Amino acid sequence: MWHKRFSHVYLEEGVEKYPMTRVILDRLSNSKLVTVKNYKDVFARSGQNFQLQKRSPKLILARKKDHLIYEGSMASQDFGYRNFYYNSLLLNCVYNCDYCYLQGMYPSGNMVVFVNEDDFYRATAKAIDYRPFPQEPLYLCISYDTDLLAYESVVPYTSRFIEFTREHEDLVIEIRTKSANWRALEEIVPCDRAILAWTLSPPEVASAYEQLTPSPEQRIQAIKQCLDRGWPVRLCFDPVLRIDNWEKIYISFFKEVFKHLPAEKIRDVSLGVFRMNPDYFKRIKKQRTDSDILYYPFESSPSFVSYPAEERSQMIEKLKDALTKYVPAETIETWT
Amino acid sequence: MKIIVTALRQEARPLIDALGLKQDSSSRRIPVYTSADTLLVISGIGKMYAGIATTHAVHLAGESKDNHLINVGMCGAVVDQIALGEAVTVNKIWDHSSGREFFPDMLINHSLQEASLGTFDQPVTTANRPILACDIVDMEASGIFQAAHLFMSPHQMLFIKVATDYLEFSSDDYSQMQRYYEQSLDEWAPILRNCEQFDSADPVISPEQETLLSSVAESMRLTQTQTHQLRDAVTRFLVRGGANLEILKPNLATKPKHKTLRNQLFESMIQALNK
Repeated sequence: MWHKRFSHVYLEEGVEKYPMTRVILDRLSNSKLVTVKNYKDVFARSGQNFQLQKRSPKLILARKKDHLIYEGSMASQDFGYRNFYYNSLLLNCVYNCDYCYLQGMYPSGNMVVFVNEDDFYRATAKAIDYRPFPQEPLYLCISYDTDLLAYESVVPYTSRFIEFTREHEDLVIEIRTKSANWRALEEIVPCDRAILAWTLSPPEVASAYEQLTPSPEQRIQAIKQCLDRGWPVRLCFDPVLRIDNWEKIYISFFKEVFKHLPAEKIRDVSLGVFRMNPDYFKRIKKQRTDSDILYYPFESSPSFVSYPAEERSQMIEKLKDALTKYVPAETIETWT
Repeated sequence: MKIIVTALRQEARPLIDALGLKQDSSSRRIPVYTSADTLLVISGIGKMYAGIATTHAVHLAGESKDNHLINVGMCGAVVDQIALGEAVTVNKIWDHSSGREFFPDMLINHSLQEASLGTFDQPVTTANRPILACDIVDMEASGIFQAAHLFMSPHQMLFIKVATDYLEFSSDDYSQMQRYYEQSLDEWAPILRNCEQFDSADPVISPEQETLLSSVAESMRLTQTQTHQLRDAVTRFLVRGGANLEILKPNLATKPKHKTLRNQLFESMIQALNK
């Protein structure tokens, strides 16, 4: 009854000339093509239902005209890099996690791919040249508002950005993912400045709140493959959710993770509790009442909604302590 | 409620018969036909009338997340790939005079061919064909979309058009065009009968619980802000698996004599709900 995912591809005027458009359309040859003057006429219509659209998401190919690179957000960890930036090659994600801020950030459940890749490379090269701390590399997160690796089979941005990084010595990129698509990187020589950052959640969290994602077990297998090949890997236990028995569940999950992964090969670990921009959070709650984790009695500040401060500290303290059994404390970056 | 908008009486008639609709005699200027779950309105030709009739229909039906708006009607085919008598669903509406584009959500696979549609202020002829950036043409859809979008989401709208000419016709062709339209009915009428209920989740707070909340707020003389906060806390409580609101019932008999006591009781009630 429902149309398949990406049954329709909307093409913004002028995108036909970009090579990335051809690559994507070749891979989605059965999709119906619809032309659109400006991608926002589809993506930013008022009154869209994010969750319904997620049941049959469409792809929108567009050109990003400005903001090809952004300064890092305070809600994200910078891992000590002072030249901290991110970009938005894609808007939205193939997955649909209950706690995801994208539901409140974007008006649509459809996905946008910006196909003018050379413009992104030029903007990145310029940012490298003019970075505020020239003695340090530019640290760029390329998979924040999406999951690039999960979508590599259709939009090959991950591999291309890795090659771009290889050519720019002062660039370090982070590719955050929940994907198990390690095969997409099989043919690529590992780059020590391209950090693969896997978000991991215990099975109890993943099965209940991370719709459409590969299981933690599949993710761990993917990480293992990449570690064996020599990729730098970051583990992100973020966001930690305060579910019933959270402490026991997360600690036993850490044990399981490091039973399969050689801890000494892990570059670093990110640990953070659930937090969200208050405006996004408000928008999400207006749309959905089907997820208990969004209805915790949170504490709200002007910059974020999260668990009360005391609970946050308790969670981070206990879980960081548990993680130090496996990895050195100085490699754990926390967000409370 | 299904809200059906047609431009012409000839387009409405087969539907009125097939769906067993009865005329609503209270709507004199704009003909309206109804049944328990359907409201059909005949707008007249042109996007202005179509927009007005759509607004009238939504007003009569009442705004709801469960409404479905369906525009059905005849259209001219611009491209040869669409056969005469073929029904299509519309994935894009281009308003010729303003240049604006509108997009219904294409979530459900209706197994009909899809087309882009241009809405024009005047009838389109073959002479216009080279400049037409669309597969089919009509004179209403953009007005219907714009009016409906004030009251509903793009996924609640569906545009079904039946090709009855290739932009070249005279009054002698009307009966043949009507036949094309009627013969296609079996192809698309089932879609109208089986409109999917997208968003029919029950509210978190049941009507009985709403009554209880109002009674507690009244007996405790809660402020407006406190009433909202209580409602939020109850929603949180229920979504997180709270079975019932028995914990609120003792407060029904509570009539605090001063603000300080009321505020204390209110805080402990919120804390109990947050546990």
